[in-house]
Amino acid sequence: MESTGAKFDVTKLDLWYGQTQALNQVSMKIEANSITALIGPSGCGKSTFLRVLDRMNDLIDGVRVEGTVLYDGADIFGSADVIDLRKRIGMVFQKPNPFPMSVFDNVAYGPRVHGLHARTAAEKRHLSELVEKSLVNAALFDEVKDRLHKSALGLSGGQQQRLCIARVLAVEPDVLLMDEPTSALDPISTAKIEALLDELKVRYTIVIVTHNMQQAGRVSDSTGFFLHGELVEYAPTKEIFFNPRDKRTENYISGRFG
Amino acid sequence: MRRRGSVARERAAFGVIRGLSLLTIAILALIMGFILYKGFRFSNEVRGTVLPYAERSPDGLALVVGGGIDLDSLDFPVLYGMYTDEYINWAKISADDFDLLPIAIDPAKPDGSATAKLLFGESADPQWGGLVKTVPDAAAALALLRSTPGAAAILPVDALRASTDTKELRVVPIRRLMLAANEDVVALVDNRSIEDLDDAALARLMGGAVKNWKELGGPDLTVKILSPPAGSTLAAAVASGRPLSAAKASIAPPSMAAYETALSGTSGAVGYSLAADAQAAGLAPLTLKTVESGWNLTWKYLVEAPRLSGKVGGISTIILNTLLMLALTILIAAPIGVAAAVYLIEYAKQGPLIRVLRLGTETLAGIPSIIFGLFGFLFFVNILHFGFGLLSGCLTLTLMILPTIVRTSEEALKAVPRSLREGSLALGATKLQTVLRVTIPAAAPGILTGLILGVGRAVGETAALLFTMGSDYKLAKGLFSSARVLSSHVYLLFAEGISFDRAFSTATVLILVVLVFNFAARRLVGRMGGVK
Amino acid sequence: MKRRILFEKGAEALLFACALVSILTVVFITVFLFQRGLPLFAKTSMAAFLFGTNWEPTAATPHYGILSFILGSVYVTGLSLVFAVPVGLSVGIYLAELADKQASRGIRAAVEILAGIPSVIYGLFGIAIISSVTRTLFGGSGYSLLSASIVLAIMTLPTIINVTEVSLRAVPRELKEGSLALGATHWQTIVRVLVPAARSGIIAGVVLGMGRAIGETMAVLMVGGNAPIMPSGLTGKVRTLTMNIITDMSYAKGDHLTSLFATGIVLFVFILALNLTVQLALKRSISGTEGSAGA
Repeated sequence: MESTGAKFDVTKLDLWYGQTQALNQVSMKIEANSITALIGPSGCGKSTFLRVLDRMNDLIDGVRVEGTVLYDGADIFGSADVIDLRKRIGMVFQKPNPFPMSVFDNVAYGPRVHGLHARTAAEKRHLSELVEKSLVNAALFDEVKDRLHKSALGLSGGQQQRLCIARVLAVEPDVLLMDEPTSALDPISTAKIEALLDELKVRYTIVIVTHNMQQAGRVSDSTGFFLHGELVEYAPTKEIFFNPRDKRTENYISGRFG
Repeated sequence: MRRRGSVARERAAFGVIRGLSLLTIAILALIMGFILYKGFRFSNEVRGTVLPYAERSPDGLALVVGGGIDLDSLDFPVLYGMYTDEYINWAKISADDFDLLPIAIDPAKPDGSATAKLLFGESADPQWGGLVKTVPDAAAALALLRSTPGAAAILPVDALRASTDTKELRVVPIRRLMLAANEDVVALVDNRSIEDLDDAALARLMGGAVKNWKELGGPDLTVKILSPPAGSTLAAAVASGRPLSAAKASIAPPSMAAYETALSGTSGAVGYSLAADAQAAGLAPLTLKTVESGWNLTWKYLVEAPRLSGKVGGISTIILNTLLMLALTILIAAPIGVAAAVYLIEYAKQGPLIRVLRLGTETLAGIPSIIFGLFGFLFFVNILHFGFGLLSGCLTLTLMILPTIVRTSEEALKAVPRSLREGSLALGATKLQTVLRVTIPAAAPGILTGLILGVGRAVGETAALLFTMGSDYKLAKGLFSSARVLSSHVYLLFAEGISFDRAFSTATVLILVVLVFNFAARRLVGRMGGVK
Repeated sequence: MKRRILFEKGAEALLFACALVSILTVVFITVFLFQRGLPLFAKTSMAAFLFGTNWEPTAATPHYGILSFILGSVYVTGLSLVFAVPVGLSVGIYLAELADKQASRGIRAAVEILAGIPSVIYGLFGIAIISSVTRTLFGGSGYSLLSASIVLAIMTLPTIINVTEVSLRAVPRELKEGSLALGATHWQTIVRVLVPAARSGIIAGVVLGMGRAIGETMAVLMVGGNAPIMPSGLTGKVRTLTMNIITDMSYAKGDHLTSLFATGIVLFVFILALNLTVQLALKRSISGTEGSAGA
């Protein structure tokens, strides 16, 4: 893999929760405008790795990180502003976490905290256009257009998750990090979100953590397999699934452990 | 067999437990029922000398007052006081806030002499008060009545009937019948004297069932009942008042003069008398005990300002002071308390220091309110020179309820799922934006519940307020103005011996306020359960 | 960006200040109380203060003996517990083990309302009902140790009921099921397994109620009689520490005021000891039953 097109360039990343090492010498390059899947058994470090990319681990006491993570060539732990970083790198969580406010306010939340105030009519129109566009892009608009100003908590689980995606899109990021975004959803909702991912990939770089190997196989271009905090194998998805180089990967893929 | 015995014992034990549980409901029902009942209805033993039979037109006269005076009937001694300068305004008579203007028709006129007779009896020379305004005739009196709020006039009933415009006026019936006895009846003999007569005793006495005053706790004298001379004013009044069964008289004097002489001269004599005559003749009245009842907590009580330490008037300013106090306390306590909770939950490292501080606050949360009162009294009132007033009181209350607010707010913030905070932060929101726009709104019902609980505690507090907030029952004019609130009013009405009835009425209002807060808090808790 | 960080820091500092205020005020009150009260012992010995029975703060040679008030507080509180504990325990057991949904909802609402009634209203109720009942039954003025204790018992009931119920519910199901599975009856299970297992929680509740009772002012002030003498039997008048403070507060000056603060210290020490006991008991009950900390 060439370093030129890489969105993320991770080198020798170590991470400790207190005394416990959760990531061990992980190096990985993530291509722009592709879907990268991270798979592995529970507790293998894949979610932790994902959370490193937009520095969500900062929120946890006692976390120590070593190694470098370059994002568009700049060190995310360096002088970069974490707020700015998170604005450009969106994250969708395992369980849908809509805020207890209306659908509209949920999507408008990001733009608002970044200083888009709907004071004038033009600004108001701009905000509602942005909200609508984000909802359309998250394939949710048709389902919620009649209830934009009702509580988001009334949506179904799948709708809530797409709302969370729309909420991220409204901030206009260029990376989407997704932490098992469909694990709490039914198969139909899952299919909708997977279809959505394929559309979004044109404009965004997507990193998705999943423990559903079929999902990784269906949606991703590259796949990384984590085990005990190590990146065991990282290759184009087809190779990982049909021709794994590492014995442990093969065992996991064929369902022998995990 | 043993088994059956033990089963019976267990059932008995369960029965006792169930009974005790129902007892708590019973206690609550008793307290609430009693306070509310006493708050809405008063029912008091009244001691007085006049019998409870009011005449609308004594001697063909009527006491007429303006419509603004709230008076259903009047005892003769009060009427007498009105015309002898004992009262200068209506406050002590009907709790109305008008200066009193007693009007009488010139005693030189026939109508006027009747008035003098009504007030001062047959024989004495009239003791008119300086306040009394004499007018030449009934028409002039009526005109003055209509133009002066607080005026009262004694007029011939016929003149009143003849008048075309009496809409704004009201006739107040007078109670002037009393029981007079010979002095040796009411005298203290061997440390015994006649007790206050209640309705039953009165009926027995005048019905002839009591032969000797001993039976009523008085001296050892035979009861001799006098009947009023036929055709006298007294006889008419007794007949029209329809008092107890016609007295079984043992003596029937022919004239009023003889009647009075008989009363004052016959040992053990007793008979009806008009208050004015008794006063003029120096007869000893028997004290009667009657039960008065009526509505206590009226709309008027809520909307009128208190006067004379709350003896008359209502509690409007006190309710407003209470609301001011609550608003100010919340204004001070809520931001500090919620901010403290936000810091402790969202910012502070959850280390041993925080744990010690929390243990400390929790342990000290049990400080009794009197200690807060003592502290506030010396620190705010005296050292900081805030004086007795709203500010001192509210600061003291703030200290008292702050731990409650902090703790409930902490619980509410803790209950907000991590995922919401992460969702916001992942969108690039700052920590403060996340706290203000996501965490606090999500925790709002819980925080609000804490605030309401705190306020509920503040509204019922007395010990901490008595010597910090002061006890002025006027509307507080500023932060440093002394202010009486509902709870201290309840206490002071009792402690200063002003009025038990009014204490209960105020207590009822206080209970209702507390119940509203309780109910609101419960509703919020219910809603919170729904969101989670 | 710099402005934003500055703003965030400023906000955090403000929040920190508020946290500090809310915590430090409590410390401040404590320190203030001691600082104002302790000077009394330069004038009169601590023994004379604690064990003297002569309260003549305004006499030419003032005496500040508060033993009668300490005993008053202790008697009133103790007697109130005698009434409140059996009832409170029973109701707690009923709510946790016996009551159906409707009954427990009703009782719980009643208990909650009881807990919210202002103490001055308890006082009013005490004068009007309890005083006259005790006067009729036992004689005396009705303003007595007995009346005060009964009012306090009602006031402490909610605390005892709540904590008892919570502690009983915190007992693991397995204990109860284990007992029932051995053929024990429901009653035996309650008496021999549940109550002992919830013991420290229940004790904590009782001690908590005790703290409430000893710190209560208005209600006892209105029904206790407030005579500054040694409590003389159930129907005698009584003055507690709290009553002593509020009675003299309005006019106390100089050493007299200091002596009220010293009275406050005694009260404070009582409360502190009780609450520390609660904290310890609760900690034990949590580690003992591994149940959740409900209280």
